[in-house]
Amino acid sequence: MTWWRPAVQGIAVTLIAVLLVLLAWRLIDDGRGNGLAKAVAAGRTPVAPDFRLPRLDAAGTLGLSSLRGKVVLLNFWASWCVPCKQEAPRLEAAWRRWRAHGVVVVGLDAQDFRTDAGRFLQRHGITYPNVHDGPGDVLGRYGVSGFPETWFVSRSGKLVVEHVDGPLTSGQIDRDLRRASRE
Amino acid sequence: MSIRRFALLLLALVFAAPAAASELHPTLPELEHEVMCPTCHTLLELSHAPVAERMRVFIRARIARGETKSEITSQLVSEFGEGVLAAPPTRGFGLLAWLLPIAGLLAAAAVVAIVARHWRRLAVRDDASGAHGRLAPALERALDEELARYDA
Amino acid sequence: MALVGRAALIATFALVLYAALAGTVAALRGRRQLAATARDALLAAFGTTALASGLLVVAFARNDFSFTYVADHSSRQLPLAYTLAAFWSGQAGSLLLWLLVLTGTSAAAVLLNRRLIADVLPWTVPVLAGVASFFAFVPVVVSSPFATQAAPPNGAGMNVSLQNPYMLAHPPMLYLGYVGLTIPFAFAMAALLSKRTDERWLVATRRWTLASWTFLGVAILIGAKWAYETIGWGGYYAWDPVENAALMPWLASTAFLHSVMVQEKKSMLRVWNVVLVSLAFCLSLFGTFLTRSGVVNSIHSFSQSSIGGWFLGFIAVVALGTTGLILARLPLLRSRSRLESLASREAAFLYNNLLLVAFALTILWGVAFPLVTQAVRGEAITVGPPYYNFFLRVFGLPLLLLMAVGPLIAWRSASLRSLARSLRWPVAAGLVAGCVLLAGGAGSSPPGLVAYTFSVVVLGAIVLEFARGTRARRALEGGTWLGAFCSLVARNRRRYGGYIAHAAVVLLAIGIVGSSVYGASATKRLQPGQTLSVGNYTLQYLGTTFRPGANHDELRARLAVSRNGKADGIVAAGKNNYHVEAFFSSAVAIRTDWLRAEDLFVIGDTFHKDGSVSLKVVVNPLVDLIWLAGLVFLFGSLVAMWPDAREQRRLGRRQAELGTARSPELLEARDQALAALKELEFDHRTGKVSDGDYRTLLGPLRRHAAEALLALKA
Repeated sequence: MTWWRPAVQGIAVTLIAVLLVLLAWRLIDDGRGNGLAKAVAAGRTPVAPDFRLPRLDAAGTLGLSSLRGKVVLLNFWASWCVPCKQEAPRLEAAWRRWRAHGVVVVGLDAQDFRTDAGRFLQRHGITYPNVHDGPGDVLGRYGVSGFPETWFVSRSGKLVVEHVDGPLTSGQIDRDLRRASRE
Repeated sequence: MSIRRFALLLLALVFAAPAAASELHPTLPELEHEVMCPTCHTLLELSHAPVAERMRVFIRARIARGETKSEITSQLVSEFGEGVLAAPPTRGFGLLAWLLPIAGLLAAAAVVAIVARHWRRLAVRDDASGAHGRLAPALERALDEELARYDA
Repeated sequence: MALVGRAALIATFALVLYAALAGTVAALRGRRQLAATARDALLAAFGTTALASGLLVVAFARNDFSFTYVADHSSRQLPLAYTLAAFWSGQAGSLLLWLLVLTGTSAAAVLLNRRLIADVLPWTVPVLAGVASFFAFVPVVVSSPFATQAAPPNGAGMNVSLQNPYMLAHPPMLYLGYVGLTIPFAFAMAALLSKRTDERWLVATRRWTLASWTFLGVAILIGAKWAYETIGWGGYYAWDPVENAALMPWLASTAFLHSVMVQEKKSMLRVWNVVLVSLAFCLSLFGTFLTRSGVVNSIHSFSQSSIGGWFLGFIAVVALGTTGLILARLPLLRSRSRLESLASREAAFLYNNLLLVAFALTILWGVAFPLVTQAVRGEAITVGPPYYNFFLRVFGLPLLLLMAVGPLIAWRSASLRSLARSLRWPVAAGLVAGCVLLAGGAGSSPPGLVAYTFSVVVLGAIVLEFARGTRARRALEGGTWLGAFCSLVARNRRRYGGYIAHAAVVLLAIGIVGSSVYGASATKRLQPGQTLSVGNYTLQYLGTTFRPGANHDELRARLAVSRNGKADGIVAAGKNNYHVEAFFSSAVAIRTDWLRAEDLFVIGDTFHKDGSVSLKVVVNPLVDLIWLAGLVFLFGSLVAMWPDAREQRRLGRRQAELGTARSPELLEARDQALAALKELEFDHRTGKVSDGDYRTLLGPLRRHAAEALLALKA
């Protein structure tokens, strides 16, 4: 008569355990993105989380890992972000200055309409590669919580510098690219 | 009318929302209730984030073009991913979100039914085993006294 | 001063840790002296926590920005009331408040119950102290409110959306609710640990549960009111994870409050009640965890801090420990359950519990589901308001119906015929109301119509219960109707207080349905002089005003309102610009029509350079019933909570007999049987139990009571 008891107990215990594991996983996962910034600030060079996303400026996709061997300036932006507008021409200028020296500027447009982003690229005359991440899945992996944010990635795919506060100046870009090239 | 039929009728009334009209001719407030703002994780209705304003512009333009609700939402999904929908889709993995509570309720109801049957059987057994004679007069009196005292 | 504060917190931690460890040893070995010291340590911990909290309050009052916490959450410009409330506007202070409430309620509960449940108390102290140890550990080690720095000239100010009177009250109320649930949990665990699983822990904690349930409920409503006035989108509840975090334990404790009655009356559901009280407590911890850890996406993005891991670890310990303990004590909890009929009060409580817990767990599932999809598929699926609203209907409508039927069913067994007779008038009233509403156009939302019909049935049932009870009382005692009514309520405060709380839930349902499905809204950009119409209202834009204020400037659009063509005054909606915080907040205009319980809600969205303004106007019918429901709810809870002299005498008598009786269980069985007889008699008088049912039920009940008497005498 009591065959259901162990079943109910088992299910209850399993569910509690699953929920706890899930929350623990989420905490750790969350900590990983935020941990990158801490690690870089502490002078370490963690591996840049990889992604492969559809391109905005051309057909096909672009993966970060395919840029191994080059220094990457990874810029997170969105067309509705005001400081991004100030930053865009400086990034374009830097791209022109540095592309011959094994540097790639990559724009990662997130939480944005593709058409809006396309218009933004056109208006600012952007020629460096740009990818689109509508849901913003990559943001969490880098611990990005606002735009613009920029990461400098070394030739070996390691994160070297993070920049969060406001738009980058040309001086900052040059300095940090030089640092990333040395790594 | 049987209780069961009454219940079915109620269910039909509750869940047959006037969906057809809003599918063909959606309004902005309706869509604002079904779509999230991707940067602030609230309903679009609650949000004043810049991307939310862009989404409103997008939705208004599509409504003006006469697109249906599912056309508009699927375009938003292709831009922002499935997370832009305020509720899980009723297919694929999202269906699990909807079915589990219902399944859980049914399972719990089944357990309650089993338990209740078990308890009823015990009650019946008690009844059968209990002697049905009258209580001794002294005991009746004692009980009445206790009852009077109980309420004091 | 910060040093003293830190020392006080360390002392608190040491005291509660001692109380937990020494208390456990004392309880295991049965050492009275040691148990007494553990108890005193717990009481003293309240003193040291109060000292630490007092110091923080002083620091806020003096604008002492050398306290990092004060500088981060206050400023010189902040009005005094908000300066003091800034105490709980950040994480470290919130947790200190939590600790204060926890040690305070623990001390009170231990002191007040030291006689009633003396043999369980040695275990209660270490359980309470164990919980407190965690909450003392966090401010000492992880996030201290007493960190210091070189004082900046001014503080960063308070989060602007928190600068609202409701936010003064919401967090403390919420914490009183969350923390209050620790008390019944601790007593339940102590009863299990000490193997005294009789009904006394329920009796001892009933008012604590009721109080924390009331605080939680009121806190949720205050939070809703705050969201309504401050966030300003025209709604009041967004099913945000942090809002749900308070709703889940409230639902679980609502289920608990109902199911304890079944245990008290019939010794049934003993395992279930322990499970429920643990669930409610775990959900309250989970709620705090959600609020503080940032694992789920929420509008309430509080600081994302390192505290999450600690919290999760604590929840895991509590959840697994509780589960293990319950499983280990299952043989003790095997009840003498008997269910005479599926149509009985106890069965109705079963159904009620099923629905309430299912709803609470559905919300939990909704909160967890995005995490599941992220873990399984790498992409989060949102579970938002449409999902919860659907399940609110699925579980809420049957609950409403049960609220109508439950009170009218008698305990043990009700013949369907007598139930049908009782329900006759409420159902008729409901059907009439339904038809009238249908004719009035309420059919535009079938769920709304059904909810309204059910609501009227419930109200009818409640009125009927009061009326029949009063009549029966008057027949018994004579006197005036009012006297009979008061005597009725006084004799069973809990039941009639409960009915008042039911009425509050009905008001709430009416308000929610009215404002969510029968409202209207419009958005429009207006040039001065232009008008906008919503429902029966027409608004004409008069122009914009600007007024500088103490800590903020006010920008307002002035609008002349007319209702059905009749001029009805002027409203002003717009934005506030806070200087120190560098933040714009929207200041909506809410015009309440108390007679119709209807709000006109005006949002000044965007002020354009050409002098025009983009407005959103919402008409929320019946929304004010929600706030009224809060008052009724509070009143009902107070009635149910009010000390009952008759009950005290009864418990006192039982306590006195405890020395001579063979076991507390036998005394309990006797009192249960006598109460059942009394209730049957009264239910028969009111007509709830038909003559036939009365005759069938009376014999076995009297025999049962007589057996209980004999067993005691033997």
